[in-house]
Amino acid sequence: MLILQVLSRSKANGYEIAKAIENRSGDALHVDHGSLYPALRRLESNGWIRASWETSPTNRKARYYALTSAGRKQVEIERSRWRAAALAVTRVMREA
Amino acid sequence: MPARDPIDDELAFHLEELKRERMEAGDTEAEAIRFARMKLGHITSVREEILNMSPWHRAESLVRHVRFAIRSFRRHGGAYAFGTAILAIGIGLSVAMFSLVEAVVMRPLPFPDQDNIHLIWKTDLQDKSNLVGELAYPELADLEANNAEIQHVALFPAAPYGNGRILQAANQEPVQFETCPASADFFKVLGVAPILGRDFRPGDELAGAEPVVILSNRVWREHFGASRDVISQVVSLNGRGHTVIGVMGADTTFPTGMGLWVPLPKANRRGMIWLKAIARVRPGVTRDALHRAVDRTFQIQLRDYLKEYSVTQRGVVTPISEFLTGSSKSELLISLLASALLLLSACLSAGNLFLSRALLRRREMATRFALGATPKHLLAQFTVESLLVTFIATAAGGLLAAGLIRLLISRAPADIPRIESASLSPPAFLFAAVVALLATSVCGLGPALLLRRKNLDTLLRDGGIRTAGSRSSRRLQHVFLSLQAAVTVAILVVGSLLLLSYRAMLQTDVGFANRDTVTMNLALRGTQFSPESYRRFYGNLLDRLRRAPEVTSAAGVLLRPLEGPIGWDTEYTFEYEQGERDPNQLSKANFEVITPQYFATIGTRILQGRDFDEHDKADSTKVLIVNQSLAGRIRAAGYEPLGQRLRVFGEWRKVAGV
Repeated sequence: MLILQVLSRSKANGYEIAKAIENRSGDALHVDHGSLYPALRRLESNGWIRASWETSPTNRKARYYALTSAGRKQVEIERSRWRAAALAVTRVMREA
Repeated sequence: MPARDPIDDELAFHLEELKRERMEAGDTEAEAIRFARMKLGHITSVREEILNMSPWHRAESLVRHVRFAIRSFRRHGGAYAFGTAILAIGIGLSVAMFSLVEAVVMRPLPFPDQDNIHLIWKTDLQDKSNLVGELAYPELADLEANNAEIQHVALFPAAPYGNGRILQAANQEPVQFETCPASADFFKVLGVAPILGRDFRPGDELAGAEPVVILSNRVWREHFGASRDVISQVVSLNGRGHTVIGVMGADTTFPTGMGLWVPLPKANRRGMIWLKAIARVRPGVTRDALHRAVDRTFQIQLRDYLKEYSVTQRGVVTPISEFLTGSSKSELLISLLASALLLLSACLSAGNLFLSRALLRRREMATRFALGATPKHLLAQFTVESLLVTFIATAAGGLLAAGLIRLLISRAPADIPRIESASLSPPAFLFAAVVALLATSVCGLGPALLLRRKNLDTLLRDGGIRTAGSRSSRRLQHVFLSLQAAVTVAILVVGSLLLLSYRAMLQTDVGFANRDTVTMNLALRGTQFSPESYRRFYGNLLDRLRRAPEVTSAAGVLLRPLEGPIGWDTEYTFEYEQGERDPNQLSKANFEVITPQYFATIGTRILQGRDFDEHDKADSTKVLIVNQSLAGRIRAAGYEPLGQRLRVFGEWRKVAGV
């Protein structure tokens, strides 16, 4: 979900995705850089993201990932699911 | 140098970026590299994880497992081959048996609402032989008139064979077909209609009506080229022109093997009993209700025609499925049970073999464990091995079953109906395969699951061939062994019971030689024969047969022995008991018309007196031969059988032999 969310802004390579998640969560979430790649492969085989070789800002060849249209739909689904879940948890916590 | 892996490239890029990040933050290069490595984790294992995800990799690892399985089969060869063979035999036998039973007993007949179709005939309580009594034509009207339970009823010969007709169509060679004379509602009872032309109509049976015939599908295909123009064509039956009015569907073969159906000629004599009734009851009428109705009818007969019927006559009602399956049903079911037990035992013994092999291989497993194989890997390996064994066993079993079915059909006694329609039954096959799979998986996976509970150290220590196995695995083996022993005993019991009854059957002296005797059925019918020419024809035929070097003796007979529970009965009185007995309760005996040398031909000894010979002609003293039980009754009454006179067919005959 987090990966898809990052990619919904713009395409990115693996390193950028990891950095983006860490930065945006204010370093509260630690990304296991090693397990990022298997996750990317899974998303790719689900048809939600597409990969291509491009040149990075540091002038190296890197694999860039971008959302497909199916991926964009999936982002919407995940977002609303998350909102529902978060809302439910928030309510429970308030009553407690 | 091999092309660089894109995954390596990607991971290397990530590593570079992490390193750059740290160096920009002020770390030394060495520190940065260390940090980057820690952050990303072990590159080879990340790479492996990614590779494991691809479907291609899964297929490849399957191939690897299969290869390994075959290698380990080769290494532990004997046991696995033996186990697989046992499984294959078990599957083959049980699937073959099940297919036969399915075809004979379980598959529904090609008649709609078959449960509503019953056969009706009579029995006589006085007659302890339990032979069935046939019906006469006028009883059709009795059954129709007195039973609201019956929807349709028809008559056909109790002995379906021997009514053959010689069919000659257009310019073809004449061929004899089994023919069933049936009354008009016959096909309505069965619930089938001709696929071409029309059914019998009331009126077809009258003496003056145009002779008609309905063809079976087989005759239509083989002798009329399946031509639709066959309807209304006139063919010659026994030299007499008959009009083809209909063709039945391919699955209408009742009675079994019939080629033609003709109208049953109307007859008025109540004494001419040679028929059986077949009735379709109204929906919801049970066999018992029909039985009561039939008995009621037969009571009315007694009231109306006291002279014609025995007061102890009762109806017999048999559902058509039971009639067709006959006595073979219980034998088939016993064989089925035996083969099911066999399958079970095969599975158990094969399972046991695999289990002991698997336990022996614990050390191999432990070594692979130590080299980094996950429990998942080992389980997968065992699964693949089990699947492979089951697959080979099932395939071999299937081939065996197909061959066995063909063999059994060709060797089966002719009186098991519909057996020729048996074929490999897919559900049975599937069932056997599933049972085999279960057996092999339990035995293959069981030890693998046991492995998971233990730590490597103990495994490596006790998993060798030297030790007999841990306590839990030994317990498992014990369970298998005792189950196997139990099933084996059950099979032996069933098997020996079958063998005993078969031996008893073989040793029962049926009173004639049941080997080396052949019969053939022939009929001279038509208008151009006189009694004199009949006699001449059969005389010449038998003379010529007896002269042939291969033939030791030959004779003619009206009805072949063992043709079915049939024969012609007649009432008789001995001279000495005249006037003592109620004429309505006369004893009946089955009679047979034979030529001289008949007893020599079928191998029955003559105990007393003589055989018929050439001097017993139409104008000489009328003689007969009685069987041993009747002779015993004569002796019990205080008389000597030979020379006694019996009244049969309204004339006296002298006993010439026993």
